[in-house]
Amino acid sequence: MKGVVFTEFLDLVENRFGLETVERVLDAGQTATNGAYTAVGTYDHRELLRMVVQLATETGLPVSALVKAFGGHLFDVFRDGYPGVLESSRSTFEFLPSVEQAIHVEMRKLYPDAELPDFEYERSGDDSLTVVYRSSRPFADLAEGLIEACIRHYGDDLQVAREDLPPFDGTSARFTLTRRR
Amino acid sequence: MDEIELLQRKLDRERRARKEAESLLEQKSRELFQSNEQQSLLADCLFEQAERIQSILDTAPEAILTLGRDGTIASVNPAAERIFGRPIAALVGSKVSDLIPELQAPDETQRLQAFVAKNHLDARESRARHADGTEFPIELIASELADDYGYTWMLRDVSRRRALEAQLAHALKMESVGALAAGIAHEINTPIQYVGDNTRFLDDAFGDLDALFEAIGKLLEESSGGRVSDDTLAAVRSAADAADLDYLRDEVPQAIRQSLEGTERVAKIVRAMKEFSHPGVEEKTAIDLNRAIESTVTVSRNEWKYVAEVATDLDPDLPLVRCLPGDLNQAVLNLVVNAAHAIEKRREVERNVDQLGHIAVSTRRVGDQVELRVADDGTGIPADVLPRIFDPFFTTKPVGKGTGQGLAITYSVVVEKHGGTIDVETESGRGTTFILRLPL
Ligand SMILES: Nc1ncnc2c1ncn2[C@@H]1O[C@H](COP(=O)(O)OP(=O)(O)OP(=O)(O)O)[C@@H](O)[C@H]1O
Ligand SMILES: [Mg+2]
Repeated sequence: MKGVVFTEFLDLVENRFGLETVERVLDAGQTATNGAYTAVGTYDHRELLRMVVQLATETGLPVSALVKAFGGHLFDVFRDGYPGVLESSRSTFEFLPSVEQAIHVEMRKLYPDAELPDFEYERSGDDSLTVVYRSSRPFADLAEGLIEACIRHYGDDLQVAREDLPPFDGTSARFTLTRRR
Repeated sequence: MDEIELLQRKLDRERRARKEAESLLEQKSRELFQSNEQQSLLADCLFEQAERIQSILDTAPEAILTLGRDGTIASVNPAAERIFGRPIAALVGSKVSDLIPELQAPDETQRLQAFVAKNHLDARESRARHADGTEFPIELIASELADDYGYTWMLRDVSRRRALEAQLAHALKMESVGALAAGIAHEINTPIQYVGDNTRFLDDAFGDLDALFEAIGKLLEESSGGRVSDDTLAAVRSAADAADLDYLRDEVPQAIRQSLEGTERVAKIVRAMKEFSHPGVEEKTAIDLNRAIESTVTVSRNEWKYVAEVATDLDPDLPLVRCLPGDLNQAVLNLVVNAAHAIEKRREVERNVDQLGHIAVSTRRVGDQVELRVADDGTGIPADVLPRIFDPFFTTKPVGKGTGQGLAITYSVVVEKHGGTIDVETESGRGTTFILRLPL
């Protein structure tokens, strides 16, 4: 998993809960680099999972809520880092289907060996979009956080319904985005 | 943990992270350098290849053209410019049918397609037009380009080669006439010799008769006066005795017959020679094949007479055959000479010189073909030799006896020039039959 996810996660923990929590989260994470992550590196995603579980214990918040919130944070980071990407679309329905083309293609140029999740889109009429997320890693919650942040960014009035798909371990999910009347 | 310590730990993490980022950066730079290096190597390689291909195209003696499906010329090399006498700029974009008259037809695109070589070795012959209006013979290999784009043509001007071939064929014909000349001289020499001997004999005989004629003249003169003296009668009688009249009456007619035969033989050989070489006949002519065969057998007599007898069995109802007479005679001659050689070899091997071998030459009509057979009872052809006998310069004979061109010429004459076929039946130790079939 790309290092930027790790560095942003630790930044978030530090800002919200302080350096002491960071220390404990890192201890629990049994990280290979002793927490020395760099955005351009690549690390084992299980380190992140262990750190999130520790953070849940520390804060008493559910893991899924934490990951979703982290997804929202990541969206903001991307928005600030690559403003052009979001500006080229005018709405969620326009932007999401372009992720595969616009973002993943660019990602592969920078990190040819990056393992990226797979998104499938289906547009049913003007008012509904289905996004199917499939990954080798269980981060459907992260995807949900990103999608919701995106809707907020464009100021769309959309309702998101999530349905977990087999094998029901967070690696596959269908999100149905419907325009509210 | 106090704040300072926490910050220190964070600082330590950040420092290590920076180091790792730096080393990742170095690694990426190295990878980038290497891939650049590879790419520039590849580019050099491609460039070199392109240059090499270009120089092959530029220096190839053959014209190399690419054509669209409709026969529009897309590209040409410098050789095309030279061969057709037109600048590259004028060739590109023009129709290839302007260069190859054979293609000027409503079904041009089909004809173009038919030009494509079945395999890459099958060169096709045609004629091309030079800018100065002259036509010249060409050989071309056409292949289809990938992606339905059109065709590539490799084309060469073969006028020089054609001229050389014609010269060579002429030279070969002259050479075989030359080789036969010694034998023919020998053939003519024998009858000439006895025509000479006989004529000398007649001259002598006439000298002897002169005295008798004189005595008879005197006798006639006296007898007109009414009486003949005994002296005169005695002179006639002694002159008649001296001339040996009985002997002369036997020998003189024989000498005259032999001399007539001799001159007839010479005349026949001279006629056969003329018929054999057919000087000046370059086009197909309808000829009496049987007569041509007789001439060939006659002129080659010296080549076989010491080892074999030649028997001919020629179909008297054979129609005239349209052919190149000189070439066809040459083809048959080669078979007869080979037959004689095979018989000679067999006699040597079997140490049997008492009996002559047999060469049988026959003709007959089979449907719309004429069949000509030359059979011998010579050595036969071993199985390992058989597949190669028609190859130019293949010979099993010692230097001086064979050059290996005989059957190659026969093949080219019969198959290529006359559209006929050649079959061989052979059995080791028993003999060989060559069967030629010519279309009528
Ligand atoms: N009638 C035959 N019987 C046996 N072998 C033959 C006969 N005709 C041809 N051959 C074989 O085929 C070979 C090729 O014959 P070809 O006439 O082409 O050449 P050549 O007779 O050797 O030489 P050249 O004809 O030029 O004097 C001969 O060397 C001989 O081995
Ligand atoms: Mg021969």
